[in-house]
Amino acid sequence: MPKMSSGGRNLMRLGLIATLITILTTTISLVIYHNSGDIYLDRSRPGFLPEKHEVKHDDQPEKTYSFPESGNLDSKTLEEFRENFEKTLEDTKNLKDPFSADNLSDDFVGLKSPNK
Amino acid sequence: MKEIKNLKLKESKATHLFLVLIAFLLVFILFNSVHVSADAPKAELTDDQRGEISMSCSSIKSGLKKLQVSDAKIRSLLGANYQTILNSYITPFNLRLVKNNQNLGDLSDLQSSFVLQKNDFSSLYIAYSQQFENLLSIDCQKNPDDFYNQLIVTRESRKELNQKVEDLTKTAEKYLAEIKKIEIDGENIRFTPEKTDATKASSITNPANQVGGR
Repeated sequence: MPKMSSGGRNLMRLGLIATLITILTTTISLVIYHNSGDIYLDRSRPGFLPEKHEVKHDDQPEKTYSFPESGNLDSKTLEEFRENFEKTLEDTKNLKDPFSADNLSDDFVGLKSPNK
Repeated sequence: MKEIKNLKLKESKATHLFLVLIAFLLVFILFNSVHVSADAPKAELTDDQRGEISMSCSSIKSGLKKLQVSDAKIRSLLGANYQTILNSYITPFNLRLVKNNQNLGDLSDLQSSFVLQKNDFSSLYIAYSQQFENLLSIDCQKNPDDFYNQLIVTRESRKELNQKVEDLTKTAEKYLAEIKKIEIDGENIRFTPEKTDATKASSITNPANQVGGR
């Protein structure tokens, strides 16, 4: 069996070290991703993808109001700001009790005889 | 020459072993990083309750998974709204007042409160999600007691999250209430006590209140 040349051995070592470094860095990234909590905020996970009606299409850009940081402040600008702010706040308030504890009540999980 | 080659080979083997050991050590440390877990209040289940949980385990799990997806949607929606309120309303409005050398009143404190509460909301959601994942990982058929105890912990976590959402809404409402107190007096603004809508409408539409109108 012919002996491997030193170049061949060096190449093997390089491949091995590169693989080890890849495994190490990927593992570190995944652990950070999990421990930092980003995994729970990520909606690109399978089962958590946004539904079709939630996806905004680029050909229909949504006109959003944004208050400019500079310029004089007059009554008209102030009134416009107030109206848009109220509208945005109403959208938030429409979700009443979004994380209500009732969703994890004994009834929800099928316990007919509640624990006293 | 041969001796030098052998020495080099030994050194490179040692280096490889060292690298592999470091890699395993790092992975071991990272995987065993401190996990904070709340002391769960131990609930005493009756035999009937244990039976109910065990029997309907699969439907409970199915319901919980649907709730998890629904929570993610709600979180995404709320997060986007809070981001909009902060970046499109509160921050630019306060900046504009600062640039115009105007008094901010309580607006600055409200902005700080909103930012802190928004960050708390993210942290609480992550904590809640972790508890939820723990709940889903328990086999409710074999361990109904552990499942129920984890359910209680998750429920508490959800209550805290809901409270934070209420706090954020209250802060945004307070900010809006402060905005409604603003009266433009020439080139200056002042915060007046809250007026009725009729009085406010007349002060806003009065041409004398326009900047440069006097």
